[in-house]
Amino acid sequence: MSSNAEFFTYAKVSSSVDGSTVQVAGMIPVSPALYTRSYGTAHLAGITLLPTPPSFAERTRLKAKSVRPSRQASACPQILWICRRNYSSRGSCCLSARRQSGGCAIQGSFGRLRIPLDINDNAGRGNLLEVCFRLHNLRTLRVGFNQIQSVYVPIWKDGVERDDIWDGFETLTFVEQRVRDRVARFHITVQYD
Amino acid sequence: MSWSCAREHDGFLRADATMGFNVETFHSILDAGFAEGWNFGIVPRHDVSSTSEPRPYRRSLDAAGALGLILHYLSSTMREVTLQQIFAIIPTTCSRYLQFLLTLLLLTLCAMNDACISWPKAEELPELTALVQARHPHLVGAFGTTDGLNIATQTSEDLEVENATYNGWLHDHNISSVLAFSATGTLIRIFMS
Repeated sequence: MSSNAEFFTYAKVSSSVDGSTVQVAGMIPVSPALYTRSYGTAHLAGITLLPTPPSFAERTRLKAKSVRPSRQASACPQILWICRRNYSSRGSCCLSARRQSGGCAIQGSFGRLRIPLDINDNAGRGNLLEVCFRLHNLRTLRVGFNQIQSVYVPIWKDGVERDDIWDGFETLTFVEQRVRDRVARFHITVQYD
Repeated sequence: MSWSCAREHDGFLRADATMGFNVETFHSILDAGFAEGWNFGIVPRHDVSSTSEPRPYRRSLDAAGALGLILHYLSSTMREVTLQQIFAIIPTTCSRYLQFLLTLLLLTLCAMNDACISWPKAEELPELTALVQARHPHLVGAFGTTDGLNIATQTSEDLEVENATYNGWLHDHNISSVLAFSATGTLIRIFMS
């Protein structure tokens, strides 16, 4: 898995159609395919924590230009960054899109990554990360993205009794409790015309 | 309950919960070259020549047990002593196996199509953008998300490395990676530092 400086893209700030501020901030590595192939309007969506006042936006744009005035980079803003603080409709839906498949999916599944990695073993650290990344892909394609559905639900629904609990659990919700109370049918309720 | 008992009695049912893979995927990893690598590879030892003949029949675990060991290791934060109890192996064997198995698993995964990390082709994009738009109508043209992954690492004694890994935002030492996910949840691009 190789990477080099050519993969970086630069900051760019623009406004989207619905008025929310869309921000491409900082240098991030992306595939060279974004530069070389024509994808039309296709892009990756990301969330940034950076604030979006005009001064900062202007500063970011100037900084990006001063670091490396690349015609390629400015012509190819294929990553849509949305500021989390704006909480626009577009931002919040992007946030939820990222939550479904984000870094948490990796660290949540592979507990070993929660233990501080060995800083003196670069190769071992890289191997460990790559194994986890590849296993994530394998599991997503073979087992399914949502393991609760594919792994646990069949166990929870195994047998008549468990099946009844699974299907009838919604009747135990707080709102329905009074209606479904065993003595509720003896209650006298006043109805006004 | 040891690994062999769990394997014999409940047919890997626990494997789903502890390793994150179902039985079919577990066997597909074994068949993709893991079993062959275990049976015909040499577990590195200082007192054994690297060109000597492998003796898998003298090992404490078979290929399935070895795969179970490394998947348990990756999916949990448990100490090695717990792994030793589950798999009934001694400390030196455990650490030696883990070191060898991580490399073997990586080589196996590199040969599996479902475990590869590849950028989507142009003809796959309409399908991916449709998936995003079905759930998030405002995200027009997005085919995936990008996210960062901060993994805790040890504090290096080398001041330059220590400074490079310190994250002021999180007040901790981290190794940061940038990940790009497709709409199906698979990783399509990673950048590791």
